[in-house]
Amino acid sequence: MKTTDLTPLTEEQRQSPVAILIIVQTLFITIIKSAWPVFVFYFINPQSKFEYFLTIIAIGAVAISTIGSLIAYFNFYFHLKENEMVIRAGLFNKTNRNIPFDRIQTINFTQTIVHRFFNVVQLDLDTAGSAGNELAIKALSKTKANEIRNFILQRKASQETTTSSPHPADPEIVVAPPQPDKELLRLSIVDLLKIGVSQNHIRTAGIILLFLIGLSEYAEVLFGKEKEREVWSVIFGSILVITGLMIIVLLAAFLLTLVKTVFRYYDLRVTQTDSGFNIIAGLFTRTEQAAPTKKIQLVEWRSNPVKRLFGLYTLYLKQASSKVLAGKKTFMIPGCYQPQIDTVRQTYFPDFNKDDFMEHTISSLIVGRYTLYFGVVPALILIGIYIWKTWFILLVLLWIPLVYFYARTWHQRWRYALSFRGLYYSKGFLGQRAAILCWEKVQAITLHQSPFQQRRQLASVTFSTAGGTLDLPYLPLEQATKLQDFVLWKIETDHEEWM
Amino acid sequence: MLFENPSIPITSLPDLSEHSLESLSPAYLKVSQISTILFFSILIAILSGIYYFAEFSIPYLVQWAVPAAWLFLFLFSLWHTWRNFKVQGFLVREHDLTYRTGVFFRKTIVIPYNRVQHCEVRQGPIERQFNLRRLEVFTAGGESSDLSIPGLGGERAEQLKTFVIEKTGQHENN
Repeated sequence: MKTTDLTPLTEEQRQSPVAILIIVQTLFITIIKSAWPVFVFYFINPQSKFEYFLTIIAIGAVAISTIGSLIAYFNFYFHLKENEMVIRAGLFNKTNRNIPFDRIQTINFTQTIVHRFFNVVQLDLDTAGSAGNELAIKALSKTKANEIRNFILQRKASQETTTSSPHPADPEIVVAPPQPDKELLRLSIVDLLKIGVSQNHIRTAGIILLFLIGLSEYAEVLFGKEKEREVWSVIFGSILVITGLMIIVLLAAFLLTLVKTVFRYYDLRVTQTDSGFNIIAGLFTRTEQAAPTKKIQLVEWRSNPVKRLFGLYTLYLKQASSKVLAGKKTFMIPGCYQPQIDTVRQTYFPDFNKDDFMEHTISSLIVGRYTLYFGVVPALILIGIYIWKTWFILLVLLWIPLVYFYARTWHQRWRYALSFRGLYYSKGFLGQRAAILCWEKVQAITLHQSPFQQRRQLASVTFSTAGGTLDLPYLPLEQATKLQDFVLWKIETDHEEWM
Repeated sequence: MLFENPSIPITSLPDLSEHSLESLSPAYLKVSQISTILFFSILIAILSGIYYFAEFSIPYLVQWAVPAAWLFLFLFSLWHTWRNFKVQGFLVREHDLTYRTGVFFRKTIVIPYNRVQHCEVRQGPIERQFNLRRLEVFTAGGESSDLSIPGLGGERAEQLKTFVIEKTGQHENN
């Protein structure tokens, strides 16, 4: 049984031999990862024969991963049938898996640097709902992978047209020739730098700080207790050094995010296909992801003050997917401009027209609550604790007007708008967060009322979709219940599919 | 007015708040109080064990504060289950299922039948003594949108499950 590009897909076959290398790589990394405490132990303990153990572990890891990957490779077969993909795998625990095409939600290609070197791809099939039904073929030639994808997509399309066609007298269904994919967005290096600059550097700085703290614990192990104290007293002796260190950490964070952004999103391309959107990006590992239009449940876009300056947004297409792949279910475009948002919105919400919507604000009572919970209460607690020690603690009272100002601005910027077909909102203090939702995507509606909201006739509404939730806080109760009644009526009478 | 669109008769839409909810079987109050008592009994047993076998001296303040807190929380939980029982209720309509719960933080969740993925009927050991079951309804919306109605007496849970599945099936065929 040989596998070449010429083997028809309907015949049982193996993956590309490159798969052996890929599996060796993953197995090796897993083994080394689980063995690292041993390394640390022998590294710290100078009496041990470090080289000796290192050699044993290295040889063991190489041997186990090589044998394991050969077994995995030679016992993995797949082929396509009319309506399903069949996988036969395993040496001792033989598994036979049939994956019907109509269960397959997305077909993604991934390429690590090894894949790219040999010009192969990893094929990921995601099936919705049932857990543990995802499938990855580690390495396939690009042509073969494309063939499989086209085969499955074609069968899926023809299945759907035959089942949904109400007129059996129409046997000749003309499948429109696939439109050439339209490039929606391609990020230049300048765009990438803009995105890198506007990322959240504080988060990276935090990670670096944590890393340094971790190192300081190692210092104790390495130098012993006495010496360690000496070392740290020298390092932290002067304020100057601390400030310098902070600046270095921030600079490092900035550079690190910049480099990470360029690596991850290098040559990012978003294309619009017949069925939805496709994204491909990365310098070393090129990742491809697809978002079929009907799977998109919710569209969200965000910007922060720096991004606003550049006119940039981060766009999220929230998809329905199985729970296991929860991380993969959001299709994220790290940086795009208004036209791309308009296109995506048009696809998700055809004939979007701002005039169909009516804008509303949330109740201004939220400002008082916000000030109470995040301003008054913490300030009073701090004063209560420290007033016995120093009167300066009363300065904390200045915190309250600050919170009030923040809450008031935040409330003023909170806008939501309703139409017969859906809802959109926009909020944010300095940045902006906005989303749009079609009513038919709603799975359940929940009304929440805190004691305060019960007293003041208010309610918060949560719309749950298969791609995430959308909350409208502090609506007048009457409006909330009306909205609930309407959306229920809309979902129940319209027979629009949510996926 | 929610939106300007004269073709939607907002006022004539089916109004959820018009209906009063069906309360849970009275036996369910007993079930939840028994489980509260059980939980707090186990807690006090563990606490007594610590007090009895402790090899370190427990500060005087802690010696009295912990049992006092236990008593307060125990009484509060009993009161809370009783109050919550009065709030808890469900409503079966033509096209959707509603459940309400929560004394302080009230939550009302509505799931239309045409969004239901699957249903389950469950029974815990205490519930079995009182012949009660709970109906769990799942949607594709994840945990935030799943609904669980406890305290359904006798055949009510199975009936309701059959009803919901039937309704879901009807929508699928349409």
